[in-house]
Amino acid sequence: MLNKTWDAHSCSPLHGFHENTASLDCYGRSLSAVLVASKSKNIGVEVVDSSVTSVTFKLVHGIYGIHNGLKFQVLTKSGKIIFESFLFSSEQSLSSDVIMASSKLTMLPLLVCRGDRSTTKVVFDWLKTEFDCSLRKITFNPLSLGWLVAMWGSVKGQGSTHITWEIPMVETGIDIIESEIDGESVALLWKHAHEDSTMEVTIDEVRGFVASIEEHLTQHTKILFNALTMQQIKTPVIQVRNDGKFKVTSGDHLFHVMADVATLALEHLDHYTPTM
Amino acid sequence: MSDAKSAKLTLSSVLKRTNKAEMKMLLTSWGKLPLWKINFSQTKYELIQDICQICEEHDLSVKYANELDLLYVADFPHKKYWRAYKMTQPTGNVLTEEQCNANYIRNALEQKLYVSFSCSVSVMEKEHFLWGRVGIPDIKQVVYFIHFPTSKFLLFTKRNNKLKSLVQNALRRILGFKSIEDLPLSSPHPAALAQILLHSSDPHDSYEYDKGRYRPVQRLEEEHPLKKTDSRVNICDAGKLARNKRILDHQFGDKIQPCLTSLVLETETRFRGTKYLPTVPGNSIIKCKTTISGPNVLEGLRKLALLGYAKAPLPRFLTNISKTGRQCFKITDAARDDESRHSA
Repeated sequence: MLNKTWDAHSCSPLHGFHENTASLDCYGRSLSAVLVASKSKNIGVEVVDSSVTSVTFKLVHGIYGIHNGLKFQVLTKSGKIIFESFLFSSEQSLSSDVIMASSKLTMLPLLVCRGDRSTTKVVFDWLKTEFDCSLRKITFNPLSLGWLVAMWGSVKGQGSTHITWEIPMVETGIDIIESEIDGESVALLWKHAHEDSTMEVTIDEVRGFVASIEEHLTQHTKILFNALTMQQIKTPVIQVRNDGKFKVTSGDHLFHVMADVATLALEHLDHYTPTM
Repeated sequence: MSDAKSAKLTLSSVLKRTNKAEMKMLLTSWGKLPLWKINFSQTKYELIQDICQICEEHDLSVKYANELDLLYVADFPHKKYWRAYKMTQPTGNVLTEEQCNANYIRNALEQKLYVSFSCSVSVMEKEHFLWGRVGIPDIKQVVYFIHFPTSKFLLFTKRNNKLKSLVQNALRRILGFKSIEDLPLSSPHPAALAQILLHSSDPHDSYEYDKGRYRPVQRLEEEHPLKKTDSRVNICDAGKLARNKRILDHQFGDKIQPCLTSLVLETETRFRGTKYLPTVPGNSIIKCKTTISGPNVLEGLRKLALLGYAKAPLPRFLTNISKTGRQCFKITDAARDDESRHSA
């Protein structure tokens, strides 16, 4: 997963998903057949060596004891990966009321994928049909981006954090304003924004943290950063854009980072009330 | 590598970088090929092959291929990134206006550089600039430069540091100066750099060689940017916006700002967001580096303030850039006293 750009989607609970080996093999064969059939219908754009040979499903073991993810890949005859995807859960999703109520539902709220557009469309349609789920592209709002900066911008000794704002109007002459903030400065500000005694992070703490950074920059430049749109953040661990693309750059915190992104994905689902 | 092969290589590399639409215009300016022989409706790959073939038939040497390369850079200067340098400490042998021509500079540069290594030098005059190209044959190392005749400024493209420093030193000696310093000023638009260096930053505005071509242009009277879209739009706080416009006109002047594509501001100052985080100690230093990017950041700053995305008056170090000729700033708080000190 490291150093690759992924598209993030929120995924509603999967109905009838089984994680035993026989079922995973069956899903692989089914998806493979659907992909071959779609190619013969000339759906989508031709790719070099487009003949799909196999689809593999694997469980990913993470930080929540049993497992917290699923990985599947679509490979061609030559072994080239033309589509790969991960489904992740989060702590909240594992204890969700929905899951407690029904044993037939599996909660993996975050789907990240990369691959060509035609294959992605076919895979998504298959997932929706097979597991009766809905997939929506995630757009990260400034509050979510600010939360990720707060969580991962202050990882000590790992470098600075970049925040990029874009101008809401077109043709002003300025496209973006990027600010690189020293890691220790980010850590200092977060330490004062958040009470260390509690694990819970509140919306007010994140808002105060982001607003203080914007106010500091406004005092120097007189540009009202709180009126601009936060487009992208780059911390030492993860880079995230507001259009749903992200990249994880540090392997040390991979599963914790994905759990945080999965929490954000959960907020996009209609039935979940955020407690962040 | 033979002369013909070098010529073909240079030619094809220039043509590959050129759009099909721009190719005809470029070759017309070059004037070395019979354009009636070329079929411009072919694909780009076939067109390049065709042109290289015709050049081989006409025995065009590598000298002309280098001239085409230089012409491409002169016609499309925004495809390179130009950095400004200032020559200082005149020796007393500064070139006169009559000496500042393409032939003289080319011959003098060839003499100076041939002592160190074999190279190809091309110089041409276009739009009151002297454009130059120095390349090492058989190695893909090329440096492009611009000199504003009778001034002490040079522009160089950013790559090839070792070759660039050799060319810089040779030019400095030819033009009659003892040293050369790097200015914190760069842009893909040499015209904008000429405007700042030759006119805006000089309080006497005494540079006459360009016949006023690169002087700042008067800004036309403009409507509010939002009003332009639809005349039925009612602008709120019209009085406040009119006041802002007066302040900004005073700060930026009535001339269109030169086209710079980035500004960098480094700050190492006490935390100024205590309104939101009052518990942060007053002596905490926050280190930031802010980069503003866009097609024309100076005009962009003015527009941001006009539209209400920035508070007027803007800081003077941002509004005076065309006069100071600096686009990198560092602001620090003094270690001992409480006043902030502005240093660049």
